[in-house]
Amino acid sequence: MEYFGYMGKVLWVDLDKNKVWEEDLDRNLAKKFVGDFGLGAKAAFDLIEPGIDPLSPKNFLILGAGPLTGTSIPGSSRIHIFAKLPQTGTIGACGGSMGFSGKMKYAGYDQVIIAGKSKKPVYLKIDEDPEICDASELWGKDIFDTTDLLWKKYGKHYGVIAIGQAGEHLVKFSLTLVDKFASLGKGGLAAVFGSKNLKAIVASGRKGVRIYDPEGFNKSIQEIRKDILNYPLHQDYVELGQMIDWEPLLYWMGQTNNYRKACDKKAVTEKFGPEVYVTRVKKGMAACPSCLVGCRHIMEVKSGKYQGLESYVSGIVGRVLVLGLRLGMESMESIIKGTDLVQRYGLDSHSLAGIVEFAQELYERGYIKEKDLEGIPLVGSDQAVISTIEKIAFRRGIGNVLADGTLGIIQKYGAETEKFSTHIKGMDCQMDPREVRMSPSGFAQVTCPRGGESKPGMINPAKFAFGKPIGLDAFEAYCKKAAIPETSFKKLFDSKGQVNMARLTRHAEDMYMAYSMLGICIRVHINRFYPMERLAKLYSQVTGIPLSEEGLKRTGEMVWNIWKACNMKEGFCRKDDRFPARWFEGLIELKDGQEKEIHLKDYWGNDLRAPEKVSQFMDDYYDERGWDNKLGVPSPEKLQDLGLKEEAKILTNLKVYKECKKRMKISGGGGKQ
Amino acid sequence: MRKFLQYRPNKCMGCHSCELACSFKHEKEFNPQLARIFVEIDGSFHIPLTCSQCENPWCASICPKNAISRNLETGAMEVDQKLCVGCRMCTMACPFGLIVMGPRRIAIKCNLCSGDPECVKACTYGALEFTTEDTRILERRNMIFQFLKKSFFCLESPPKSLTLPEVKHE
Repeated sequence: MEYFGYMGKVLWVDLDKNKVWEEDLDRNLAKKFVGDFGLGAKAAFDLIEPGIDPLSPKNFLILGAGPLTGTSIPGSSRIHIFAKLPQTGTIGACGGSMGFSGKMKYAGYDQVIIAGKSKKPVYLKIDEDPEICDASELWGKDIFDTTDLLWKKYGKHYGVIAIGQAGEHLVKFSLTLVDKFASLGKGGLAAVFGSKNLKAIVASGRKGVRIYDPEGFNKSIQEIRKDILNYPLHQDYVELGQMIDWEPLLYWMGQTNNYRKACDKKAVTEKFGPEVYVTRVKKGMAACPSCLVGCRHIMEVKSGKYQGLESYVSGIVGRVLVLGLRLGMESMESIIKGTDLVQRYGLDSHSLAGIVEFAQELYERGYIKEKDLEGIPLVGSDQAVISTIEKIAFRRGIGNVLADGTLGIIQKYGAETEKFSTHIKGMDCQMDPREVRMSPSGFAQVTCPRGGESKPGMINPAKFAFGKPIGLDAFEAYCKKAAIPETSFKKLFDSKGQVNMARLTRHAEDMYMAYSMLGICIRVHINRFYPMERLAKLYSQVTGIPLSEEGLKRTGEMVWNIWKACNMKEGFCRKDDRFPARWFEGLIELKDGQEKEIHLKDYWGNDLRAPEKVSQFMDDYYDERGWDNKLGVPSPEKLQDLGLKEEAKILTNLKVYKECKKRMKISGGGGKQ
Repeated sequence: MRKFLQYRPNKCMGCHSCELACSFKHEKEFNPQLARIFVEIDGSFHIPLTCSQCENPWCASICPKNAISRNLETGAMEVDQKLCVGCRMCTMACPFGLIVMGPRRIAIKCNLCSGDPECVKACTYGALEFTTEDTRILERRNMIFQFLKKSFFCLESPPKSLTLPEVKHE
């Protein structure tokens, strides 16, 4: 059978039996579920048994590359890995970019499914002759060294996904890196690799990705390139990467002392801002395959203790805010050292900050004792932060407790400590909605099936508007871009003519799904050039399968539902979609020498702290999704409506709905939050 | 006047767009392994490499079938697919490793796309240029000229310190 876009094969790997074999990709399945995210979610639903330990051999790793990946479509190099994640216990899709996804396709595979556990350390080689190879020499090495050794052995044309010491020690918020740059695996994916004794995956191949309609495709590519290059801020993006969003991100993620204080924006910018970055540590930038906006950072320390250190990271802003502002490293140079360690060991920096700050508060409140720290404080200086990172990655001393993540810490120090944490489903949230008000970017953290991550809600017109009204023009343009049908308009606006952000979140999520299914980058400097219409057209031109923008949106909705269904099997329901307790407290801001409290407000400035308000907010979201309001999950009828008849039947047979009902009753809230 | 390809490594981001465009043009599929241009990466240093269309080409000298000859219009050395027997002599002779074996077991190399190279069109960072003159040399000469101008000007009113300009190797 002829495939365009897709390569047509699935690689199965059984680490238990040390066996590798390939199967044909089910064309009908690929047509129905579209791309890596859809096929991955379907495979996760079918394969991962409910209730298993994420670190047991029963867990799967489901790698997928989309139909557009490997072509010259700008920013089309994302890969998604589905697995049950140890940090949260949710079925999560971890996304990352750089070269691996394309190379997996050149090797001939759309999907790679890894099962079982190897007896000894191994890595997986995917090319003309896929095999499981001995990795005893690589075990114990960090990600950069592992990647370099594998490149030395096979050549730079191989894509590498590797884990570091944190993954080997099963740290629950460890992640993998792709080609030394792109982080992949928020939620503890590297620990799943580690539990399977799988150190790395390398891929390369000589097969090509074929295009159904080369002429139309060429034309589309020219248009996209022109749009990207003509964008006024294009050059700035290439110069600064995500640093360009420094100022708004200070409002998004610039909260310190475990989300109790707002930072002094001016002082932080002087100390760690874009200017400091460019003049003191920036060495260059790099791009993912096919991307016109190279936004990967290469840094070099030019003076001081760490002189000569060169490091690589996909987004430096997060690292600067996490290590410098929140954990208190002293200078830009030491932040690069910290970043280097976090990258080498393979740790999720946002979770690291959340967990360490949480632990620091527990220490201040007397839960964690002085003797537990062995004389070195957790935060506040270069030495302290570096020691904390090392303790966690190697599970030494107090690090052994912190390595179990927020849920592990709560389990150890008692349920009453939960109110000091800011986790959602066990994942420490990335952004605080108090300073910027509740918009889809913040709210998506609550509804994301994987846990507290804001990515699915990122594509929305309110992202950096900070409570300012969105012009009707801008909103209409957004609706067109997101292919929101006119029938939804009435509900999207409330009686005052204001946009309902809870309802808008659903559409932002559907759009995120469309990008993820096709493997297109979610970063703002790429996604702004891909309205749904263009995505659907590209998909049709590449694969030869006709798809309209409405069809793409609907498929996106279906994939979100099946992803949710995966997590329903694990028992997640409305009870878990909750706001962290800390969001309801005041955020202290120092303004003109006066302490001021900032409270949680909805986008239009109304107080959002009352339980019934939050409840209404959640109700609106579930209603827009067409889900069961009380349980916060799609009903069997809704799933059937989306074409997921079999899945609905399986859920009913597994008594998932009964379980959800039971959980909602036990919580006593019965619909509150 | 003949045009040639010149690289500017300090502008290359390692995005492989040139490889992708090259393989799509010549092989009708996206397959960097079949491209005639190669992006080499080491840490922060990226460089796209392809055939320099040598004036005295070793690949053509060694070819026992005389399958490699110059296209007088574009100046590119081209492999005649009918004459090539796939003996690999050219791949051994090329000191740069920029002529390789293709999928049909015959040698493949850059032919400058009949005078309109796809890779140059695909490179948006300005790392590849198709020009008649080596602008890199002109730039460097201009740089030393500016330095000399300053120095000679300074001789009349001697400066406190005279520092050499930083020479950037592109």
